[in-house]
Amino acid sequence: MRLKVLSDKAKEAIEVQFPSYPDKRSVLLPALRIAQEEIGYLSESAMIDVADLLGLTPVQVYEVATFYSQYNLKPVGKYLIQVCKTLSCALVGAGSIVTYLQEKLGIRTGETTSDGLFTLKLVECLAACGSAPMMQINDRYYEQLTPEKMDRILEDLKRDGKSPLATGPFMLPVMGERS
Amino acid sequence: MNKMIKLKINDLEVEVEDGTLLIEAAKKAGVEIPHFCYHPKLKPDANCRMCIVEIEKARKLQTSCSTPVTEGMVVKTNSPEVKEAQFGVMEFLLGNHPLDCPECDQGGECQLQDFAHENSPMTSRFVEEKRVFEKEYFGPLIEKEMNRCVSCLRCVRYCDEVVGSNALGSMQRGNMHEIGAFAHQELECEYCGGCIQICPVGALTSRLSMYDYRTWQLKKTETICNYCGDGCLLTLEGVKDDITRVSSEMGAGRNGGDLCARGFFGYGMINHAERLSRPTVRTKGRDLQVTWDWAADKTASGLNEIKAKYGPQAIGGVISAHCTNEEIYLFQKLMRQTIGTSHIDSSARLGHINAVSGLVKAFGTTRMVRYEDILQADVLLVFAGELTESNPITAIKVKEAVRQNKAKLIAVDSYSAGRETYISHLPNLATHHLEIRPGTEGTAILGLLKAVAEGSHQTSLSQTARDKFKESLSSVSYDNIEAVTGISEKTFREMGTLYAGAQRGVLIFGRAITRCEEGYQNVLKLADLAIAAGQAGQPGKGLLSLTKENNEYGAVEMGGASEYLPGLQPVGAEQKGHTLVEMIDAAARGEIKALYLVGENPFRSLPQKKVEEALSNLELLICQDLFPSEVSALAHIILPAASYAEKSGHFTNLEGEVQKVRKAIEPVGNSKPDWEIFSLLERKLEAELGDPSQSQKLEAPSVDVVWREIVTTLPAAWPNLSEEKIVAKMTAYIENGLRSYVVPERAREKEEGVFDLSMSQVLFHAGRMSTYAPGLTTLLEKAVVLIHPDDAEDLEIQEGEEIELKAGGNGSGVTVPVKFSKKLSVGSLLFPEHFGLEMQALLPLTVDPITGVPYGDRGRVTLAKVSAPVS
Ligand code: SF4
Ligand code: SF4
Ligand code: SF4
Ligand code: FES
Ligand code: FES
Repeated sequence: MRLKVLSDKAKEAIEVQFPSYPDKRSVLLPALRIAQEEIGYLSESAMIDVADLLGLTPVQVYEVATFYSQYNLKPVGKYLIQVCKTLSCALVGAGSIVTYLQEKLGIRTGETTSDGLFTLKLVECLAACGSAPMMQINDRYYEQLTPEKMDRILEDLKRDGKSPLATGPFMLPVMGERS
Repeated sequence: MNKMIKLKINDLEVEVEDGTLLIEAAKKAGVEIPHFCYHPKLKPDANCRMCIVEIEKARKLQTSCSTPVTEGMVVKTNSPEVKEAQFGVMEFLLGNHPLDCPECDQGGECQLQDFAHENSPMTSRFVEEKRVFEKEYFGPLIEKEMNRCVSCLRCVRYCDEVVGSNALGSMQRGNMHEIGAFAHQELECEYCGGCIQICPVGALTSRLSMYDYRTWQLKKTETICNYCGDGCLLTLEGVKDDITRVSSEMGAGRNGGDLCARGFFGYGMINHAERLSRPTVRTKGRDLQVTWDWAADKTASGLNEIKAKYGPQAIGGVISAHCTNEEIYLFQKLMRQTIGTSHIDSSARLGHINAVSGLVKAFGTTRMVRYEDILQADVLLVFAGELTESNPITAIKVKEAVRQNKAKLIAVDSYSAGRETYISHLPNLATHHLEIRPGTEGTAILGLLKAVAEGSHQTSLSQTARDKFKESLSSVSYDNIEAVTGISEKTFREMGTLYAGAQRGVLIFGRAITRCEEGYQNVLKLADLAIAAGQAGQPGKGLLSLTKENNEYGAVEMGGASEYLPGLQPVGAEQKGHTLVEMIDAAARGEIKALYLVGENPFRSLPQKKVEEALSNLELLICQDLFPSEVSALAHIILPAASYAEKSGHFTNLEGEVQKVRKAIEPVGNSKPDWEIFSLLERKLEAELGDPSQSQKLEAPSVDVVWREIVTTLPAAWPNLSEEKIVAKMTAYIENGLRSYVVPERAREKEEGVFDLSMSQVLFHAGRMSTYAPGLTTLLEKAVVLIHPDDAEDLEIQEGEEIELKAGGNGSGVTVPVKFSKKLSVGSLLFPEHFGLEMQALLPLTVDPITGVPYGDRGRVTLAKVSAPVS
């Protein structure tokens, strides 16, 4: 079988998982993660490769890839911003956080800035409700967001590729700080 | 039978089998529980929550589609709690629904409409904006209207559980959940139409008949599909004399309501504009359109003249196995009795006759395996790599046996197990796939036979019979078998043991056996294999020959073969007339002066030059057909025949099931059903021969009268043979047979640049007829040659690019575009036989020395890129 885009390394990384699961289909979630790590997002060719490796039809892969917001079906910017829109965050202003980001970056949700740096996405609860509103950028959490904090985070990332404001895995909520 | 369970539904006492689902038990009690995601064909999914009921002692409402009955259950389907919950579900569904019933094709047969009438709150609290999906098509034949979707997943589950195509996905989530194809591309699936039929609403509809009808305006006629031997029950629906769509009743017929693309989308040939519609007499190069009476007179007098001048043996007739039993019976009677010739044949000669001759010789019958036996088999041995395309419903049974019932499937063929994305392919389904070199089927059978004969399993064979088998195989060496087939001794031994060890082993074979070299001998070898393995002569075991045309079984059984009278009674060797091939030869030699070809076109099966020469030689050529052809171009008389939709009668499917064909519309144009034409001719001929009592019978007898005549004429035991008789025949065959098996010395050399070309059937077509169905031609319109993408890559050929195929290096070649197909073996090419005649000229023709079957489906060719014109 000739694969379209995935490397032999990715193929191996996927196949090595087979023994840990009852059937090949169950390897789908990790396989998609591996493919996404390699290509940067889940291109159609990457999904077809995964389908071939797991003995599935492409649409069986596509179903899963479209269900989870963790998978990107389009290329994303260097920094993938995922803002939580679920209840706890929504109650303390996730909406205005999103509006602020959209205006500041000049993009709508789902889009990427023209310099390829930032992609903005909305996601469901990321389990940091206690320190809402929050967002995740690449692998790090940023919590108890305010417009000023966001300005700094974006500046830091642009300049240094990281920001000291990153928190987590969880920030412990400080009682009474925001009354 | 399972134990019976008593329960109460809405105060009604019901008794049902253990394991029955509540929703089915209620149906039995006459109570319909509203539902969307439930369908009796599918495993319960319980995702829509519409079917909830109240069960005494249960803590909360339960979904009746996934709850099996238990003894003493007390169920309410209409309590206020139930109604309130159902209203809730309905309110959600209708909240987003566009309510566009006036322009929706499902209107009148929509479960959402029906259940909304009874179970919806009539008002909605939903004031937000409805979701809107952009219009999308699932390719050329299926309309997708996601705004109407109720997310029940019946379509996705059908495509997975029944068809095994897995072409549909359930995508996105929540409010924006939708059904779709991979990455919103065009669907490239089997186009069985099943998802359209199983969708409870108008979210998936057929584009072939959009906005054409309201269901209650359609006249519905249940009949049998005329495309393949599976014999599916389907419903032709139409207004006046126009067939507008096809449907099938879930669970009904031998097909259980499943259809393939040909059955569901292939009806367009019926009302096709090119149908022959007027009787035509051709004199001195001029075509005269005449009345039926005139045409029949001309035909009768023409036949009589030839008979008077040269005797009856100067006349021959061939009939298509697409015709009904009544028609084939009447035709052979007309030829044999009224005219008095013994030259009568049918298109069953092109392969099926090998199966009949072989199976009848070994078992006395061809009727051994029914679909139920496939479902119950624990081992299936299949010599038909094209099964999913040639006989899609038989394939659905095989899929169910393998996927649901965990049968072992041994597939022996010359295809590769590469995945053709959404079209199922037998080798992919197989638990054991033996990919043999093309043309080595016979040797592969010997490989299995030797393993079985030398194995130690129990059979009812006598020790002497066993020893004889063993001995006759002793000179056959696995070294040779391995060299020829490319399969190891170990594999043969394992597979032999697996098959012989089956509780219920079913052996299925297709065109690679019946339509290819050594066909008859290979059928006998398969019979030997089944007998030696103890897999014949008992219920649930046996052999099944796949047929391409819908009534090949019937054709031979009705006497449409030179060696058989009706009821498979053999014709004595001296009286046996010519086969199709012999008739053409005799016509070329000038011995046969008149040929009557009914729906059969020898140009498609024999070398064209020869056929043309033979037919041009004739003094009288009668062509009776649906569409113009190479034959009608040469004919002296053209009689327009009616299609299956325009007549009544019976077809016999590949299980041997005799099924009723019902007339849906009046004959198109001025055509007539074949049986009516035969009976008209019979009367004309009798009258001319001076039997006035016959000429008085002006009215044609009804088709029922013909059927009664058949049933009374045929041997009493027809159609079935008792088990004892089969065993007796089988034993005699084994004990008396002298066997000598030979394996070719060694494998044919693989030559650089030479490909194995074979002609075969593809899913979207059947013979030539389907190429008149617009629904099917949108799926595959014109000739292409299939090639494995790896071969194409090595030769630097792009998909769609034209290549030239040549036989033997020189001579004129054939130019066709290529299409990639991963299902092919590397080094082989496949040409769908439904198109152009040119390809045949590249393939050598041989004729079976015993059964007279012409073999011209396989050959070897070289391949060259056609250099692109410099632009
Ligand atoms: S094969 Fe195609 S037509 Fe048949 S159910 Fe699947 S998607 Fe529908
Ligand atoms: S398209 Fe039809 S069958 Fe499929 S999920 Fe939607 S409503 Fe159900
Ligand atoms: S072509 Fe064969 S399988 Fe398809 S619907 Fe007709 S009889 Fe059934
Ligand atoms: S609701 Fe935003 S993190 Fe849980
Ligand atoms: S029909 Fe029972 S939950 Fe859908």
